[in-house]
Amino acid sequence: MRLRHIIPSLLVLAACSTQVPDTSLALDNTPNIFPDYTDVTVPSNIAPLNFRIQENADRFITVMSAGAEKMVTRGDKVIIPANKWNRLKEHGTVSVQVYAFSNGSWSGYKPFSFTISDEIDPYISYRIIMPSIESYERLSINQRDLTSFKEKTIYANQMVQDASNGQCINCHHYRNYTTHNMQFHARQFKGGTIMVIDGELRKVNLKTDSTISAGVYPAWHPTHDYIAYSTNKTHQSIRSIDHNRVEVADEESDLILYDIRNNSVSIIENDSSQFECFPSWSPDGRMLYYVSAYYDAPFGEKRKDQVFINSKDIKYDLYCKPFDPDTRTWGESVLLYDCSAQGMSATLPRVSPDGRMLLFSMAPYGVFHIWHRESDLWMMDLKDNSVRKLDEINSPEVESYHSWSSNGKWVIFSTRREDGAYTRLYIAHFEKDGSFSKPFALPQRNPDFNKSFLYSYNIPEFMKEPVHISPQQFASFISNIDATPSSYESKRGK
Amino acid sequence: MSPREENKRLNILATARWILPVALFCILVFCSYPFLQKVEEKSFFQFDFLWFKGFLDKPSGFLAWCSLFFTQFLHLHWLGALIWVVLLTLAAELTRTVFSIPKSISALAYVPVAILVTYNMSMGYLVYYMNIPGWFFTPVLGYLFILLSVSVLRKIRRPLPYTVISIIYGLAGYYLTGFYALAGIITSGVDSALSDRFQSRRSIPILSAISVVIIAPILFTGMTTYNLSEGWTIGLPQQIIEIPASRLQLPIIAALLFPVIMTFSGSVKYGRRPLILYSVQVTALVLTVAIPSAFWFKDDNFKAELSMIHAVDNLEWNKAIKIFESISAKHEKDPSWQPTRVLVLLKDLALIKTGQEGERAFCFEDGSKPQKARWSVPMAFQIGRILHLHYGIPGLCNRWLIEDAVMFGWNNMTFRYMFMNSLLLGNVQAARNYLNVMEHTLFYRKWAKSQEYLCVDDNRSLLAGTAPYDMILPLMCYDDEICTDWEGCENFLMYHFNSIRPENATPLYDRVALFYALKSKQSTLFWTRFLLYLDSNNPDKIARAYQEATYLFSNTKDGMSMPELPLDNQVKNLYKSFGQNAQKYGKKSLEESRVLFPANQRHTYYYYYYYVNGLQLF
Repeated sequence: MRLRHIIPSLLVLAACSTQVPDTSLALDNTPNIFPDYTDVTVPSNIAPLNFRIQENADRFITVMSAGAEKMVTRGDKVIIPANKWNRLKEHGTVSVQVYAFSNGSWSGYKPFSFTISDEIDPYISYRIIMPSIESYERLSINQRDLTSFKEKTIYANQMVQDASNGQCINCHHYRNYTTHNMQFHARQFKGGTIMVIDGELRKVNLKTDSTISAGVYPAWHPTHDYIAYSTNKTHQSIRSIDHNRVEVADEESDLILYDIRNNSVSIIENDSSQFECFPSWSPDGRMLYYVSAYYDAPFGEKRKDQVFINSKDIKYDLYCKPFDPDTRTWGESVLLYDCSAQGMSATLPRVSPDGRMLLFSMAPYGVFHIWHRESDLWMMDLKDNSVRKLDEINSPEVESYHSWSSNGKWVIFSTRREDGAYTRLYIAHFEKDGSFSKPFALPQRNPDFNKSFLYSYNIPEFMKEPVHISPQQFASFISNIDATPSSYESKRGK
Repeated sequence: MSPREENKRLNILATARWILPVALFCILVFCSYPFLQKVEEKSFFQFDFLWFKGFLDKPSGFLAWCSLFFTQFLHLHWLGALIWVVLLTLAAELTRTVFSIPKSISALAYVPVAILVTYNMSMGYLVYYMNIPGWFFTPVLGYLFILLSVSVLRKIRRPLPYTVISIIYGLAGYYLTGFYALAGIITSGVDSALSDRFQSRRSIPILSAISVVIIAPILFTGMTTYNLSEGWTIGLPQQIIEIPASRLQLPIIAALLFPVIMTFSGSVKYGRRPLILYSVQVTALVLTVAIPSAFWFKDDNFKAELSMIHAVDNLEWNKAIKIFESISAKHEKDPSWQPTRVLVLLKDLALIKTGQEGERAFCFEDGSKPQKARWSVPMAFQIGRILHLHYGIPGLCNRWLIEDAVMFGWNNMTFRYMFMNSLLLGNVQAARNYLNVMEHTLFYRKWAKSQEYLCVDDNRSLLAGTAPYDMILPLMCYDDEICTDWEGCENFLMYHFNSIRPENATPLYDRVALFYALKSKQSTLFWTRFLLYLDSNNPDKIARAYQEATYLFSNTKDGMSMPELPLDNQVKNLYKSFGQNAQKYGKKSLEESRVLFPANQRHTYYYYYYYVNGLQLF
């Protein structure tokens, strides 16, 4: 190779090196990156926040620095090695500066930072599903290690199915964030509620002649061996032209209490003019929160259609109901927040681990807010019952299912903010002043992952540990064991 | 005959086998291209590492990925056909080489390949159901893997290395190709056991093969999340809905048995008995032609459906009408022929899109011929996306696209329609994401790039001036409704346009509503829609079908008095002549009446009103 060829090659190599530009034009805006991790607060044990720079330029240099640690990367795809990330995080704040080269000169975007904060539970679990109406050929409940990118299947419905008999799996739930007491439903083929009780598998049929369905949305009692469930007759329909493409509504719904030791079911609430749903315990287990809507229409064949016709008039309010777990006795239900009076409808109440805050989602109507673009997260301070819309974490698109971390410092929630079509998971830090920090997307090894992943994430739940039972053990158990019928106790508690 | 002449004749016969791939290629390219296009449209391949990694989740995923790689070339149907024919020919010639089949009976090696061809080309309507990614190329690639297994393991001449290598090869092969590796290891085991290599230890290759067959599925089931019962057949199509696995698996297994049988042929001394060789070669040639000919799916309606769907997907409305005209002309003298509802609905849609529905809607044969299929495909899975998109019901379009993706996997057409539908629903970012996926493909990249300009906020006015949205947005002038099309797409469209009259109805909406009022045969509804149409469209001339309906409904027993409309004399004369014939023939079935009435009378609204009855709507 001749010298005249070598010199330009070296120049090109030099230009492509990861040397930080000596001089650059300072821009007054932060770069457009995906996911938007600019100025976010993240847990000290979170996986690297890889991102892609979405700006037009010929070349990019990204500099991350914290204390004496520094990392320089080249290109629009910023991938942070785990060991480097861990060293950067040790310093409390990671500063990020992006430089872009275009039209022969370098520009420096306004730096942004990652603020490192409290630890988060190391695992989450969620269901992966295509946003379909009727078909569910491929469903899985997965667990993700938040400290890395490792994801494993807890159970997948294709493990126990044949061509004409499928399974819908849903509603995974844990007692106090641990996995040796957990449950999920496997509906239809070889179906039942699959429970892990102190590490032992159990398959139960919670449907009795006296209840309208098997247990649906669960709430495991924090101190005693009870699980509160809603029972629902749920239907789906399609909207022809609205941006909210699907409507999900209950024709009937009640609340039941499942006694794990006695394998029996009793009624909590079954007012025929009310749709009670989404039970959730206070951390001490002495109060059950739930939502309920007034709907007094005659039962019969047309009720299902009527529910959809009237869907925009069905509004759920927040209730609570005292409970004595030792005697299993209930107090009178109390209307906690009259959402319908404000033309709104609440769902998914979840109390913070310290018992102070009640997080819920609210939209103009209905109970299945993942299909309601207007749905936002709201929070009630149970100390004075004041209610606040969480503008700092809401978006113009759906915010729906949410969970508190076990230390109450983080919430994870599902949202369709990225594209309006697929549900993604975002995490936000709960600050001491009662506000939330800017939410950040669940980190992915490939920052473009969410743009091409054509599944939704359902029901994000924190876990302190992974599920130890393998998918094959679940599958074998579900295949080979028939569901044990639960009995019905007509008396409401003892 | 002298030995030289015999040789010459045998050589000619040996050469004759080359006719087979050439003939196959020609038939595929000139006669079966709509089917090949459909196979490609229902598949998806992108150059993306994350996507590739997804295939490695379970055994045989790599084979599926390779098959999808080849399937994408069917986008240029001649290229995909060429690749397929080359792979098939390679499979046949390798069979000949591996099993030392003499050239004089070389056509024998084409028999299993003919079965593989038959398997693919006998699918017909099952093409809509095939949910095994890359199913079109998988059998031939799997077959090649089996031949490769035999060739590789033959080279190992000592028992111990054979055992170790065959087990490792079998397990690795199982991860890559699933069932085909198990078939390959069995074939190889039998082949080795029958050879002289291991002499007294002939059981070793058989035992090795058996251990791989037992171990591999159990081992990999523990590592992945598929159903263990599928473990031994993973990579083959499984039961789909009510279609038994045997229908989908047996032809492939039959083809794969051939190499096993051929392992026994090592001891056959072919010798030089010209008559026997001649007979074997001729029989094999006959079989390779007869088997595909007998089972090749041949149905004009199916072919026309595929061509029309392809034309509509590409917004070639006039081409779609021509395809309908052409199949109608082909069966003009066959009174038993009827179009399927898919053909009729696509023709109607194309007429509406070209503004010809008033003039020509009833100028074609009507009918509801059932699909020539044992397991019929719901119309929603065939053209639900097309109808709902183009008739301005994006909610239902989205619903069928997603259902299709869940049940049969994402495919090129789903992505295209998802993109268009997302734009109509105002979901620009989702539309951009679908384009982003398509930009990773080889053949849709250019199209995706060309659509990027539509992915901007506030793009309504931009869409309003761009096909096909310019003809869809005006149909989305109604208030949102809760809807479902469980009863079928056509019934739903009938209900949709006949029950709603939006306050802000556009001229196009009134046109389509009038068309569906005519289809419903309800005179009161017709009059309402007709007056609204006159008001909003203010046509220079009343189209023929509307004139006929006006005249008909004015003359029926309970008919309204006809408005002051200028009617063509031809319309009145046809009514008179049709009426005379109708009186003469009385009530007849569609099939009977088609023979009795001349074409000019059949192609009127009068005929539709009185004789097109009892159609099965889907």
